[in-house]
Amino acid sequence: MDGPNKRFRKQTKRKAVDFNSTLMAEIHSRVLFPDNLNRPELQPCIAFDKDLLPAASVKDNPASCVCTKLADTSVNKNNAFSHRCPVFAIAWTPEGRGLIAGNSQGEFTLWDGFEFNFLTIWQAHDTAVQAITWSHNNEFMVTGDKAGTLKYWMNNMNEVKKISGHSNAVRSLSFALSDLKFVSASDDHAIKIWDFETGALERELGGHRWDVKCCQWHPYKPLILSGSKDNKVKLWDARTGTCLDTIHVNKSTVRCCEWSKNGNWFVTGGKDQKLRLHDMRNMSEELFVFTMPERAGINVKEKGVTALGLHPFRETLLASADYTGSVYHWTVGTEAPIAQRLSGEQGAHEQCVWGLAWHPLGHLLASGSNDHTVKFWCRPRPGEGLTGAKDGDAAAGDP
Amino acid sequence: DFSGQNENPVVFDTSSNRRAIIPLEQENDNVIDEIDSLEIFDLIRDIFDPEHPLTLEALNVLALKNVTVDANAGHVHVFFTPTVPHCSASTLIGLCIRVKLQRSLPSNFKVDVEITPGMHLQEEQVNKQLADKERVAAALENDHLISVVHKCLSGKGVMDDDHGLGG
Repeated sequence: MDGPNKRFRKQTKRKAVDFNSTLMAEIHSRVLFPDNLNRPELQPCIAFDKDLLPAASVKDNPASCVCTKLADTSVNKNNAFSHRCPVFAIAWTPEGRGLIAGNSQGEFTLWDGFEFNFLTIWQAHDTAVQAITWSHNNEFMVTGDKAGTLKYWMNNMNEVKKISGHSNAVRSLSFALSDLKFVSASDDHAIKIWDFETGALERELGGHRWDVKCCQWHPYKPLILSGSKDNKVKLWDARTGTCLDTIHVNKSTVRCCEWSKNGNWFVTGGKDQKLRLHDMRNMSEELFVFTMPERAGINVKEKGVTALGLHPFRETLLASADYTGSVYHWTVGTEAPIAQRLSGEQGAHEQCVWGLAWHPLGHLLASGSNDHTVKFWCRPRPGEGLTGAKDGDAAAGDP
Repeated sequence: DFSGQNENPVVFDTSSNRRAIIPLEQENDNVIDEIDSLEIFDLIRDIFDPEHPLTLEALNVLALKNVTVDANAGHVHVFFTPTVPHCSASTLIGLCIRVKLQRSLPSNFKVDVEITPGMHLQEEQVNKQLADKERVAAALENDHLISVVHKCLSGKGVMDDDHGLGG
């Protein structure tokens, strides 16, 4: 708007993370260098920027997908339509074009996946959004809020159904591979299996004695993994509703759990500051335990892992976030994190991170936090070191 | 698509070959349970036919004697018998059996699904399609086909009409 009251906003070039150049590099290299042995290594120099490959390509080195460079910090403005408040749940849209962030006022904000600018916001729930999940066929999204209501959304964001599913906050949602059913876990101690088309409750899985904090359906088997405040992790048979196994090894609340796409592994993380990798085929002991490093001088009321994300392509790479706002990257086999962004550092989160989500292509990591922001992390360029030369440096068009 | 063929199929008895269900607490973890043909048959007998609201066992498409397993070598062979020699849903039924076994068995198992010799006019062609890994993988990427397969495997059958949501 022109006129005497026109405010001038500082012109900043927006940093964009465009994966298309890496796809071109991949198409080029897969003809010339069909396997990893022949492919020339990226040298640690910024000139090799153009040879960066997509996260799915470099199969032998999971460290090439570690996302520790801050690409952008996205905050809602405070006005009549949007509120600057804690972000509780995030999820990428299936084709990776945008990120949906659900906040404590029940609004969904859609952030662009390339330039991380604000796209749209709408009031979705009456209470805080707690869980978001997409169906495997990418057509529907189901979300849950603090009051226990479940809502179905089409991928054009039309709300199509509302179910009063639970009597207390819904903590986690997950679809079966066939998308015919989905499971919801809630603070009212119940895990419920719903028939998707009719919205009818099909089965209730009872057995947890306290709030169920996380659940996930196995990638292709009728198995459901759940973790609860009663320190137990349970495996359920989705067809009969029986509990197949219980893991007692956690000493405190299990806050997050996730199956690996290989169908055999699952990772659980909880308040006891450890991430445990289990193999379903041998439940007598954990396959690997990751321990979060102790940080002197940090005194928080609560501790522990709050969010977990396994990389979509690298089987051995995972990211986790904790109550202080630090984001850690781990590879299976190494007890200490291979990369981290500790809270309190320049550019990192300042408060608890509630949600972590990898972009479907694996080159970006998004984290939604209690400090009202959603931060997008991208892979550092060759030669930049783990945190990137200058965080958020405006150089638009970088891959 | 498949309607109009074989409107009155013969329905067979499905009560034989049912193992007693042992509760989890009574299972002995030290005894190795070898995968035998009855276990494979239990996995596939309740797959629904895409045309009729009946399971494959009820239509005699699948029979226990047509399932062979070599647990040591990790090899499973299933013969299925289409209800009529010109049945056009044969590839779909074969695909459902393949998908179910692929997802249920450990990954080191080789699964062969074939039409019982002499039971179908295009037996060789269907067998060739079902044996082709890439063709099966490409078929499973087809959204409509995979949702029909999922409905057949779901235990409720394909005969429900679309509710407008999903599908």
